[in-house]
Amino acid sequence: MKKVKFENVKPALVLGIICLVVAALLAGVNLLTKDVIEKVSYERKMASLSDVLPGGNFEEITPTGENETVKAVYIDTNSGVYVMLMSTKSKFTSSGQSLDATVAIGSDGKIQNVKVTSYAETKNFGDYYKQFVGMDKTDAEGADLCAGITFSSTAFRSMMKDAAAEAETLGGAMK
Amino acid sequence: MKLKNSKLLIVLKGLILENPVLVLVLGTCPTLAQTGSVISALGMGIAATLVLVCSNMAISALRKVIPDTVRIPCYIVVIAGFVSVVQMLMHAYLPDIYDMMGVYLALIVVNCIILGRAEMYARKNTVLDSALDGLGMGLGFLLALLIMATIREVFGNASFAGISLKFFEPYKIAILTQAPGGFLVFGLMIAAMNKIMEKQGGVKRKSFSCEGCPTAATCNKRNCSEMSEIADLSQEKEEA
Repeated sequence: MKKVKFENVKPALVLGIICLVVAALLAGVNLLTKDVIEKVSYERKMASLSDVLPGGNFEEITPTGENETVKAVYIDTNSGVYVMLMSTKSKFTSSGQSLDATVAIGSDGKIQNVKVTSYAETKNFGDYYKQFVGMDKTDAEGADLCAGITFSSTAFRSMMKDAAAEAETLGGAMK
Repeated sequence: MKLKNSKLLIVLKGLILENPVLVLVLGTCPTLAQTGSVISALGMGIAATLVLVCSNMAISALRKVIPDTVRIPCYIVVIAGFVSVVQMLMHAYLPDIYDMMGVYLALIVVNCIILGRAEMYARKNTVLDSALDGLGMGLGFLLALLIMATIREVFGNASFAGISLKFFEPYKIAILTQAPGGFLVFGLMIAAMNKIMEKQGGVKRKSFSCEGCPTAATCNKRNCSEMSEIADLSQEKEEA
């Protein structure tokens, strides 16, 4: 049986040790920042509710589960308007980060306001999302896409369609 | 005094004489992508400087331990580790800038300034010198980004760091905020840098070391100064 020389194993050993040390460092930093990141994300989500529907008194309700991009649903107890936290993470996002938005939508299924809360692609979304204000499920299905961000705008359009469908279902259930 | 001057020279070299963006033409992708606004340029510059200093120090400290055959994977692991650390810290404490930088923050891993300095400088020099080199190169990168972002944002968007500048509003050139405008400003800045350095005596290829050249590792035949001398000789021959 051949003896394994240390010189042959050394590169793999050194690389393995460096990987372990870096992984430990990352675990440590993750431990330190995890709670802060969660807190910041939560605060931003809550702030986005007020951004799309100022002065609302929000109460969380359970989503129908029929539309997978709907992550959380709140209802304004004063006006009955739904505010939804939407998120999609598909082949459209090359960075691996999700495309998130907050939508205010009436029980009639018409979008009242939209805000993009997270978009990490290379191109800016610009004012593309504003065209969805006033649209319902059918209108959203036929909404224009945007050149240069075709994949992202397809994902966004589908998200808006989901939001309108969710509001229609929830509105129907309430009646 | 001489020692202090030599250390200072390492920092200044990266800042002006061997500026990674305007002289070595490295890190072009983030330069073009992140100079649409001053804030994102500042974020990218600071993040890259932090990673550059830390990775240079770590690689220099490990230079005698890392075998030659696996040095590039080792550098990548170290650099990726520091980038992830910076990413998590920015996500936690500077969420707005984190969002603004998007995918380019993670792409610092493949920024050729960082890998280039690790390969060309940090693996041959002491920890202190490598840290100073990283600092100089990082500040040089930051300076170039800030100048370019200022030009593009002020003249292209009539604002500075998000603050509207009404005087420039009627004169704004929208293309400067787009990709072609980025290339245009980048080219003009390199031309201006060459002109300025020419007046100061000029930066010829032989006046900066092979360490700054991204292809130095594969260029085994001759070093830059020999090549430059050969070019000069052939030019003289042609003129004669």
